Amino acid sequence: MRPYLAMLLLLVGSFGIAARFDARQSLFTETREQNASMVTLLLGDSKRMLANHFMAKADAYFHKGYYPTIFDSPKTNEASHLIDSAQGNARAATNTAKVVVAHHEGDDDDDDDNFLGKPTDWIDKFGRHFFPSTHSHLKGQGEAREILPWLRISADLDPHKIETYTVASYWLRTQLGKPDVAEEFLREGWKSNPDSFELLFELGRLYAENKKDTPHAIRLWELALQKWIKQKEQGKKVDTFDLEQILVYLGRYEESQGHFREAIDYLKKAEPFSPAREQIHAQILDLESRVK
Amino acid sequence: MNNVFALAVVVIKELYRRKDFYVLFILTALITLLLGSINFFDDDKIVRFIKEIDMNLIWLSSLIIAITTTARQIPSERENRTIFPLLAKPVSRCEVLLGKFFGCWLACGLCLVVFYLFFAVISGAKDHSLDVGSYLEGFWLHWVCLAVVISFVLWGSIVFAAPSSNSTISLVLVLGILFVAQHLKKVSLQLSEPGSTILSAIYYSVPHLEFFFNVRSLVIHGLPMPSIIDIFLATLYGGAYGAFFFLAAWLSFRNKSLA
Repeated sequence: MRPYLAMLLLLVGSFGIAARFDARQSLFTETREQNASMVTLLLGDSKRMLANHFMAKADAYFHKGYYPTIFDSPKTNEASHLIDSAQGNARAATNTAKVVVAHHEGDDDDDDDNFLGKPTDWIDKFGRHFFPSTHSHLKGQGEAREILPWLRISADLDPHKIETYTVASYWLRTQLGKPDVAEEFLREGWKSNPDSFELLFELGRLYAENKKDTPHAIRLWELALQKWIKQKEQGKKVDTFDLEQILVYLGRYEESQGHFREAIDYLKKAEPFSPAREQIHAQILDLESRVK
Repeated sequence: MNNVFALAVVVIKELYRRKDFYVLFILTALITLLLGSINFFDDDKIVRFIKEIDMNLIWLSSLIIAITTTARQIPSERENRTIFPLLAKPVSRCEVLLGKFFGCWLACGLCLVVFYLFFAVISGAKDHSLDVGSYLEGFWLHWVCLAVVISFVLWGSIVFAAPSSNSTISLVLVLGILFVAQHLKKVSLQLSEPGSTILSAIYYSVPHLEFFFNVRSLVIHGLPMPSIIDIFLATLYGGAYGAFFFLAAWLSFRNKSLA
């Protein structure tokens, strides 16, 4: 009798364990589905760190391998040139800081960006012949595409890193002539970051500059403005540069439609945040003279 | 010289009989082809990403082959007791070491040829261009770097008790030099004494293998390669360190008890 009782006990035990594991497995599967990928499951929060690394890798590719390591301290430009470049283009479009674009589109061998400094000894001096030691950027359609894999990987690892989407979109639509692919990527980013005004602004630029669908762009910029204000009201840290961009783009549209008063309103709101206040002020005065 | 050549041929034969190279080459090829098949933003002309991954895998594989092959040479001869009949023949200990060194170096060179051919095929297929000059310079500097590594590991195979410890220590040291050595001076300048002096001394004394390693960035980004004079000087530099470690190995080996 005892062996049968033992068997029954084992059977009950097995069933209990199986039921227990099944519940855990369901939870595990649900979590995995939520996290969307095995990489996410394995890496956890460290994927954000890796995402930053791959974003920096894209920036290094933008400079053809000329990039500071953790042992080097960049003297002037602490922010990513890759992001600067995309933002600089927006600034130029709004006539606020053409200097930024001039730097990124022109001067390759800029002394300000020589993070290496003067060689400290013969090993340092000789070693510079064996790695990219002069400042240059990717040029043209052929080279621009080389940064894209790192941006894609960065976005996969951290879908909440907004710059990845906006930078990739900028390069895709301006250098590679792929606005549809850029839009798809931006919408993917928007899905992960529904409150992002940056993505809406970039999507608006895509519609205005590439698809020539200004009404659609305006709706996107207005939505971006609402999102910016909402986040500001919620006490979140928001960049006034983005606000200035949105307002200036909206102002330009109103001006093109002959709605000078609305244009003046937008530019007046943008003026305090603009790095080129004098230019904006001159534009306001010009518009006011046209209203009169 | 005939003795050295005969010993070198044995090492080369050993390498192609073993599976190490085949496994590493197939792994490198598989990973490269798999990653090369990924489509990023509907663009099939992206090439540098795959070149970088391939080049890094080639460096890793070549270091593993060089270190593990060299580390087991002398210990396996001692373990199998084949070192005694070998030395009983009119072969000096120096010739044994030279034979082992050249055998390992040539065997690694053959592996590198296969790896770089694969690299050239992948780059050519994606890029539709072949920068043979750059690949040859990259190959040569890579091979010179392996000469330094092999002579260092050969010394380690006499000093350390087991091939496993020699391989591990050598791999850690070589990777440390490749990634950190060039920055030691910058770090030393920020330290107080005596740390600063110690770090500076290490900086000036370690072989700067990163000279050879960093060239891969120039190959990947299609930038101008170092001049022939630079390559010649780097070869001399590597040769000097290789000779130094070989001499250290010979000094350790010449009076060592083999029993």
